[in-house]
Amino acid sequence: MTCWAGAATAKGIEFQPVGTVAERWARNNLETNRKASDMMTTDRVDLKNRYLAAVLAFLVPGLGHFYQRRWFKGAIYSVCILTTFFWGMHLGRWKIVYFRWERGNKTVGYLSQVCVGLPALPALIQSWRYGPQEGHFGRRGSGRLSELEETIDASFRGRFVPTETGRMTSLAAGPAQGRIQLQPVPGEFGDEVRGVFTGTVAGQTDVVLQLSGPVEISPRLYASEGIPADLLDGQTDSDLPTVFVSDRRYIRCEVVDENSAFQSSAGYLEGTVPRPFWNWFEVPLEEPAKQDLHRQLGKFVELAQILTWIAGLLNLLAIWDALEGPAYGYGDEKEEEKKEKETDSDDGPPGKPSQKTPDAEKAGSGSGAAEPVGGKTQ
Amino acid sequence: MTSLLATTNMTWYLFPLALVVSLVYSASRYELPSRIIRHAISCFVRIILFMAVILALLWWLSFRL
Repeated sequence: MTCWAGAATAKGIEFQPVGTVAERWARNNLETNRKASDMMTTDRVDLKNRYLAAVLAFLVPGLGHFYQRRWFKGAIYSVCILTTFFWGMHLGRWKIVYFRWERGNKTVGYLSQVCVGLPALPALIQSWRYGPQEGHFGRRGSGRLSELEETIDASFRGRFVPTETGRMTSLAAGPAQGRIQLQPVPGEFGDEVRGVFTGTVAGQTDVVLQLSGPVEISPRLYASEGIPADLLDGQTDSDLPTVFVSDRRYIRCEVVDENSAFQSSAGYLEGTVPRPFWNWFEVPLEEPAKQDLHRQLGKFVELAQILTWIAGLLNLLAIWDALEGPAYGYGDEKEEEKKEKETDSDDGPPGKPSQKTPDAEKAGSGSGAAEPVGGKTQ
Repeated sequence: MTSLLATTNMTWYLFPLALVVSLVYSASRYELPSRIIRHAISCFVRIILFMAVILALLWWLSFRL
């Protein structure tokens, strides 16, 4: 059974045999397979080492395409995906990307965020670093406080509060600002803390205070902790509300009364020391800080999270594109097909001479191809 | 910053987000820059129209509530 295909020309519709049904089916199948092959990996795109490109695309959106010298697409991916991700991070005050995987507290959304690659990967390291920290919820209820385990040598901002029994009468209560040095040393009954503060206290300059334990200090790694506003400003008004901050670390230690023969306490220093960027960035967020974030930003917390999730999901498309090439093809297939058709019609495949039908004569000249329903059979 | 966030209607965030999604999706479909741009524009328009229809539907459903 031979199939016939007709094409409208200026002289009418011309029919030409296109082979048997089986041949036609095989040809169509071949054509479909060729198109599917083009969809997956187009030969016109040099993917270089596609696996390396996929890894690069995962690490930094667009980097895999830059490696493949696909500059335009690389620029689109890097600008769009990274902008969306950091836009979300900014809206969420840089606290919405973190990884925590505990019973009842799992950041499932991180599985999407991590697809952005390097910008989200530190959360895994921070989660691992954050886990082993020990501590307990301090009396301020704003975070975990623990004993000093490492040497502290940093700028200090806070206040000095003398005890009623302290004999160091030369210093009044007031703001304290300067440098604090603390270190654990072996003592008579185990480890003790010794240190010194140099700076300004209640307006007096060049004050030197000898410090000792017990020391209360918030964890080294903390995404955000509640610190009374008066401590941040170095004021003495204790009625100010708690402020959640990331880049400061709460510390409190005793001041030794040098006039006393028994090294009794003359008061205490309470304030904050700086917390480095890598000790709060993408560190798991504790519940009080999370609630504070929701209280301050409201629904924008969800929006910020969604933006980071979308950025991660979009990068999956970029990774796949670096691995397999464009999904639908190069983009000028229709033009190519037109050219091919034109070339084919110019060459004219060998076949039966054209036949005119009465209908075609009535229709006159037409554009486009016309095929009889069901094909003309012989 | 907080006041700025509070005064910004969240709906406006849809436009840059739709643009980003359209661009990245189109870039993953084609290789030719002109085709990517054309596809991205049509995709962006479709997303905005779809969201506008949903907005209108919700507005109609919540009318006089």
